[in-house]
Amino acid sequence: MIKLLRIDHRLLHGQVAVNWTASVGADCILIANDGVMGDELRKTTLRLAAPHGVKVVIKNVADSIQSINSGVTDKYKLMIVVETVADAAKLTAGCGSVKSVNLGNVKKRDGTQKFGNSQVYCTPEELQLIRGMIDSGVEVELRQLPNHAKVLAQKLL
Amino acid sequence: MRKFLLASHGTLARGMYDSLRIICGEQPNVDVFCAYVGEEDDISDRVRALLDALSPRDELIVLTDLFGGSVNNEFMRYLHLPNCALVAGMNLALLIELLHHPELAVPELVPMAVELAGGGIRWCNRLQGPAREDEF
Repeated sequence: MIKLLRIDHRLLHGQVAVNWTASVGADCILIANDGVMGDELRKTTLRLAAPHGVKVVIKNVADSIQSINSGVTDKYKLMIVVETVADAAKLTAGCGSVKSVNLGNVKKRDGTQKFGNSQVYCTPEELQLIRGMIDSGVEVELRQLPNHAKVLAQKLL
Repeated sequence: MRKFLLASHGTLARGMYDSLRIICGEQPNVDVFCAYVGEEDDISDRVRALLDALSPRDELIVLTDLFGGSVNNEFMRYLHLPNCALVAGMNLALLIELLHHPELAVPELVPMAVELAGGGIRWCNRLQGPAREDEF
């Protein structure tokens, strides 16, 4: 069962490992990211960031979609973390079971705009992807921490 | 209600709360006690006032910065209080673990959190990587 899909450019770090995992009761974290696949040091660091007793699986985005759709993740209370809006859009498009996206941290880059009162910075293309996810029936919400109030992205677009 | 007190020589406790806030958000049940800031050289009265003000309906978990330090030593005098627990060697992992399990009673919670937090002190140059399972 998928408990959360979070967009966070820092992937697995304190806020996510400690807070979100506990808050949603996850027993498995899937890091769906193409960039870390060839970087053994970063993968080790991410695995070590996991809270005690929580399994971490790191896969590229395409393999992540395949795993989720195959049913092998069904036995877990799964939390998925992706780095970018584009990866979240790929996952929600590829997996009908992902119905909600949490926008946590998206890095400030050239041409990005701060999204509401958040740590999320989006390019116009990313805003378009967010609109697309909403139009396809996915809830997109902004929250840094689980005890913060949910702000629907829809209201800020 | 369960309350926490972070106590330190100087402002470490305040800094600890500030870091906690970034990771976990504001925690209304966590208070700080910064000793020897300014001219203060005796903290006994402040500690006594704090513990005198503790309601019997509340429980307090005190985390101090250093076992054997004067701040911890001061709180040691109140170990007889049934609703007050004292843990030395405060760190963020310990604090977060303690906060995350409001459902556990102190005698289960504290040893579990102490063990987990101790395991978080690592020499990173000599890490044994966890098992590399890339499958579910």
